Amino acid sequence: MNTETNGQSLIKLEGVTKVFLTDEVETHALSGIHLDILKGEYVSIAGPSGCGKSTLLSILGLLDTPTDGQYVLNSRPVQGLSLAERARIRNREIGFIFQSFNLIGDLTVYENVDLPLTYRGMPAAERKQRVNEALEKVGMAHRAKHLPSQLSGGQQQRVAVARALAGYPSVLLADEPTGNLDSKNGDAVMELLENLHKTGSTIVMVTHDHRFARHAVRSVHLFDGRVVEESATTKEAEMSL
Amino acid sequence: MNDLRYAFRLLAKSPGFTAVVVLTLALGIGAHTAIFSIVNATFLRALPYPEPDRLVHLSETGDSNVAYPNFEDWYAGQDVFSALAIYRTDGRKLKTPDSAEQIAIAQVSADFFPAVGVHAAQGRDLTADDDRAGAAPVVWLTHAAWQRYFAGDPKIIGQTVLLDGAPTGVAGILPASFHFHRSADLFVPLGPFLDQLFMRERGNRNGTYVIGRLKPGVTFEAARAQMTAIGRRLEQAYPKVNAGRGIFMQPLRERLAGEARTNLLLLLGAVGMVLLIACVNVANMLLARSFGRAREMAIRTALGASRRDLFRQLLAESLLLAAAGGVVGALLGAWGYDIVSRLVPWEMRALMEGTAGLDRGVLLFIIGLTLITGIAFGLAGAWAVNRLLQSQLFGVTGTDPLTYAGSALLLLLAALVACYVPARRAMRINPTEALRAE
Ligand SMILES: Nc1ncnc2c1ncn2[C@@H]1O[C@H](COP(=O)(O)OP(=O)(O)OP(=O)(O)O)[C@@H](O)[C@H]1O
Ligand SMILES: [Mg+2]
Repeated sequence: MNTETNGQSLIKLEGVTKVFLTDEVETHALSGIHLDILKGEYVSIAGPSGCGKSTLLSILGLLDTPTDGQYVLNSRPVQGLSLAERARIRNREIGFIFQSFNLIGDLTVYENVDLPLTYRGMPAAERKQRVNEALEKVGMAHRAKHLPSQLSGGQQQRVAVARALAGYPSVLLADEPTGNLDSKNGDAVMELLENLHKTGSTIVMVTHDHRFARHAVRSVHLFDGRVVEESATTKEAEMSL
Repeated sequence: MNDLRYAFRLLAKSPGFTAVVVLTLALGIGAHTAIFSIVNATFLRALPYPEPDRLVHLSETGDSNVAYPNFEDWYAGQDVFSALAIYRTDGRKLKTPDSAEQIAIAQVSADFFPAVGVHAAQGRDLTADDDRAGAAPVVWLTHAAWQRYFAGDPKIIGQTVLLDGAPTGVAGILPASFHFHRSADLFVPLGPFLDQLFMRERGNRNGTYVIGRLKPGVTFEAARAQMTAIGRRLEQAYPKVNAGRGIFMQPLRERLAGEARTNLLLLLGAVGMVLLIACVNVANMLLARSFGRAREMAIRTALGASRRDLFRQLLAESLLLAAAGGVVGALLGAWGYDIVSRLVPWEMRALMEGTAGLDRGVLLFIIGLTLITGIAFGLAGAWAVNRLLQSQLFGVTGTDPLTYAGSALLLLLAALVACYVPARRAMRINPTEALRAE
């Protein structure tokens, strides 16, 4: 994981706009987003369904490109990078955690966590050490040889978190990581993320459940593709929506 | 994880899908290879003689055989052939050191070896002195017969063997590379047998064939003009037996191919279609599957897989399928070859003797093609996935008609190549044309 919050900008969005064109209908998923995320921050993104949260996350994760605007990651503008370059950055700098876990069903727990490291061409010995470390961190080392279908939802999500962690990314991007979990398992995953944050990870998490949003240090509110509110979250200053 | 290992695991996990794809490919490959091998051996490949396009089959019109006295007059009257030979085939009992074997012999006239362009590999060649009544009986062994009946004994030359009980001196052994287009284990001069076979009679054709080798620079047409004139003279000289009997000439290869040519080429076209349909079917199955796996590919992309990583993985899978299809196809092909070779007219079977079943070049070609098709499958899959990627991670699904059409087109092209190359080779040959051009 990277350093503690030290005022260094990790993610900088300036006037980011995303327009989808389907059957000649324009959808403005994002309109002029400005966002600054510092290293070590824990940011939650909230807002109603369809307001552009996932779109924002996929732009942050270099899975999609903005229609307009600037994105600077780790003081490097990412516009105009080749596909291979983007894949490389995604592999090294970004860790994804999805609502539906998105583990690969034909791979074991161990192989799932190992997968992003193999794309990096990392030597086997180092990979092994990283995978074991990550699995231990999420408390899943004892299930390394299991297939995802043999695990509960909460366990699968913990494996997904381990997969995101294993490569020591600059930022973890989580899209409703608790959305498919019951509250007990959801709480456990949230606690896991909070611990990661305490040890220095930068986390951007989408959630429309403000029970969870309060875990974050800072909350960004989207409405209809725009940032309508930014606030430091405390137990008292909860979003009301 | 190793791409191949993962591919193997995936395919093993859906045995039904794998079996259908492999069998479809195997059928296409097998049928195509079997037919193409046979067409190649019989029509496309040159006859197994030096300068085969100079070889001509001659007969009396209205008969495939030639009476010996007529042949003698042809021989004396022409100057267009560097060698002109008459031969017939027969059976004999050969006494070997161990037992007696029923074998096939060819009785040939003096020019026979020069006509087919072969010299004895050991011993001496046949001379005009051997080919006359009362000459000491001698025999030339094919390499195969020498190995089979005399265990390749090098001291056999000059020794005497018994043919139907008649002591016959071994004069030579033919090279291993020589394969006559009719079955014959042994070659003996025809001359000593003329009387015994009543072949001095101008009406007796007695199963004979005539083969000629055009002199360098003499065209088929020029030779035909001269032979036609000779034939006409013989009709007038011997009206009783020769009336209406001119001289018929045909390039040897055309003669041998005969009617089977059309049938086999049609069959080749038909199995070409089978291969094409197989490829398109497999393409469909693989594409449907890769659509089903778009989500997995999207996950991999999110984890930082480059396009190359995805392609490599899909490639590993399709190559594995193509390789399995190739192996099973080769087996089916070998089996199909035996079946289809029964369609080949008997005159041509001997041509296939030098070739041990399936043509390795053809098989390699088809397998190479399957691999290319495999790469096309991989490409198409990767491309399809690439286009679908966006929506997958966040739950949207859907198929993309453009991708589908594009991938199908790509595969169709691969399949077309599979048919085009053999078809083009088949269409290019025209022995008549080739002979005339000389
Ligand atoms: N690939 C796409 N093509 C067209 N429109 C899209 C696409 N992806 C998203 N959209 C549209 O953009 C808008 C924002 O979508 P997005 O998925 O970012 O919303 P969200 O905030 O994540 O919603 P939810 O909370 O339901 O997940 C929606 O109107 C959606 O229909
Ligand atoms: Mg969403």
